[in-house]
Amino acid sequence: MKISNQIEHLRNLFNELRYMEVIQFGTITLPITLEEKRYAEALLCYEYLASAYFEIGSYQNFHAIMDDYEKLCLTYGKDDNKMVYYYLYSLEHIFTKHPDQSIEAAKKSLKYAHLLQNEELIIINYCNLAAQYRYIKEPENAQIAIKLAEYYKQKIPAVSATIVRGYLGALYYYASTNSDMEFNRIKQDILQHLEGKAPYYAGNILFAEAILNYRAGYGDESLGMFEQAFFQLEKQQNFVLLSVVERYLQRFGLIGKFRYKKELQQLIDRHKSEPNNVRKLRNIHADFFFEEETTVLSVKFPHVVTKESTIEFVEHALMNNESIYCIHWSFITDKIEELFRTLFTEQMLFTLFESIYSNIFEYEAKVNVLSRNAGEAIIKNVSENDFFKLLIKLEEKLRTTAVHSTSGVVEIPIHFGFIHSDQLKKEEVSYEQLAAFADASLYYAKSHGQLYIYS
Amino acid sequence: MHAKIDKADCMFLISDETMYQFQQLIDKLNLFTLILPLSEESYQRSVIIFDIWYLLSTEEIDRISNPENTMIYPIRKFLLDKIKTFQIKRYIQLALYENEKLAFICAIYVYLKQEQFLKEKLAENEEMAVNFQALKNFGGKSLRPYFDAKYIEVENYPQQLALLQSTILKELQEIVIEFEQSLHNLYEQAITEASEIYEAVFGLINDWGGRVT
Repeated sequence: MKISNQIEHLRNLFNELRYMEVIQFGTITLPITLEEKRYAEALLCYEYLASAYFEIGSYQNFHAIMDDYEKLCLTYGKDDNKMVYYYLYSLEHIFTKHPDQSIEAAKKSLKYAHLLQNEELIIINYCNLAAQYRYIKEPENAQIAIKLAEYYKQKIPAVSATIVRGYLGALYYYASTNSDMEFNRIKQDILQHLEGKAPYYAGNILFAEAILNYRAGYGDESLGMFEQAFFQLEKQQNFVLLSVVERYLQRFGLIGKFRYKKELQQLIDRHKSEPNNVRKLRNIHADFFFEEETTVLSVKFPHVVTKESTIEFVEHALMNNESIYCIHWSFITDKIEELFRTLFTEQMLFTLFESIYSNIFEYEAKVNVLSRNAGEAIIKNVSENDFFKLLIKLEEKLRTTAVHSTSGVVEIPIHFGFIHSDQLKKEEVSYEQLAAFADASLYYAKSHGQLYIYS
Repeated sequence: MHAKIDKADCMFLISDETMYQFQQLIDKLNLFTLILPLSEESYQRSVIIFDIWYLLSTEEIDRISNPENTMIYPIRKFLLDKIKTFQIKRYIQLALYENEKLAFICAIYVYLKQEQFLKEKLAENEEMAVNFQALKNFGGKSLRPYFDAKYIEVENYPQQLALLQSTILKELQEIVIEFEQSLHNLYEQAITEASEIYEAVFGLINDWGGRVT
């Protein structure tokens, strides 16, 4: 009850854009939620804290929070948590200068937002994408994104304070396309919703004005606006946006004329973009691993890869004319699940998987977990002889892992299905086809109670 | 969405150019595909959307069915036939033949609404839900390898799979007969929503289709 109240308070503070208070209260609530293992609430704390740090431009704190937030979100997060997480992750990458990662993350957040029909996040993300596509010079995508944002915007009557943050993306977009009318419309919208609230966004608006002026061909006026934006952001200590200001000054070729160049660069250096312990940039698809069925396996076997990297691996090999075996396996666990319980079965599957894992990694292989009791491996450059030796070895190993019950020994049947890339026509070979054929062969092995079918 | 679709998996006989055209659309209109449910991403889904796109954008006289796949994918064939018999407003239908982008967006929405229909019906019918789940366990991959000559030595045809498909088809037929009107309403909604969003992004449809009401 107490925690729920605290979270409600945080939600209100955040919607009122009272970011400093969000940080003060959030840092009190977060440890309590973690201690009591109230992860749903802990995730909300992380969400508010990360957002607040981002909005006030405190780079290092934002990074630090995102680091812990990521782990918890990918392990315990529900769809709505992931939706917000990927939105923030996308923002994080704008400032680490990885536009591609940022765009991918925004798309992912959008997928969750569409799934949950959360129009607010749909609009924010499309605005964000519009600005980013514009920045990386993909005007067609940028235009689609902004139009989609406008389309969904019509659907929500009242605009909440949160969405105002998203509108900044639209503001940057219209500034960089020199669309005066739309720019002013969005600007008025933002100002209207900021009335009576802390002036966190004055610097952002000045910065957008500077871009608009530059695009309209007013270089000197633009420079003046950049200077005003600099003063404002320096006052607010918004180092996140200051680093973006510097990037734009460079892109527009104005940095040489910028009178506060030294001060700007000193400020950025001092609050260097990367935090002390640099986060490794993760593959944003990593959360596929944390789907309920594969969670424990993937934590235990870090070399297991995602489907995306398997596809990449296959494509790369095929391009280099290397031959590949694609092998699928499946354990039939109905019986032990009936006799023992889920946790026990899971432990059993660990042991079995470990056998496969350790043997297969003697070769150049990629292993992908498909479900709790099924998996896939791609093995490169292995001769037919060696491949069958591997199969026999696996079978022997697996057969020794039988389970003893009161009614005797229970075996866990395993079936394999495989295909060699040379067995398909050259123009037909792809990851999808190999996997489909391996699956079909597994199906036949299963339906005939054999270890594998070879034809 | 999967950009690499094997044309052999389609319900129509397709030229390389057409497939290339569709792949270009996936790339160009990527932002419209984000509405598709994240967790159900599969190869099979992309092929189904391709079929719907091809059906909507190609006049009947130019379409040739792939007879082999009619047997391999009876459920897809059945649902595609349902879309085929649905009357789209004339001005939109004319525009669809002309405008591949509009057809692409319509295909996504038609697919989504059809899935919504299936989901609703599965929620009411436990037995059918179990069977659908069993079919899903084939991983959303191509089913052609199950009917491949390589496996004829093992078994004439994949008995379990064929039985499963025919059971689902029978159940589906009954449901669709009973709720045909609501399925048609959903298709109608899909086309309306898709054209609305198309017009919001690219401008009015009647610019080239000729609005005939």
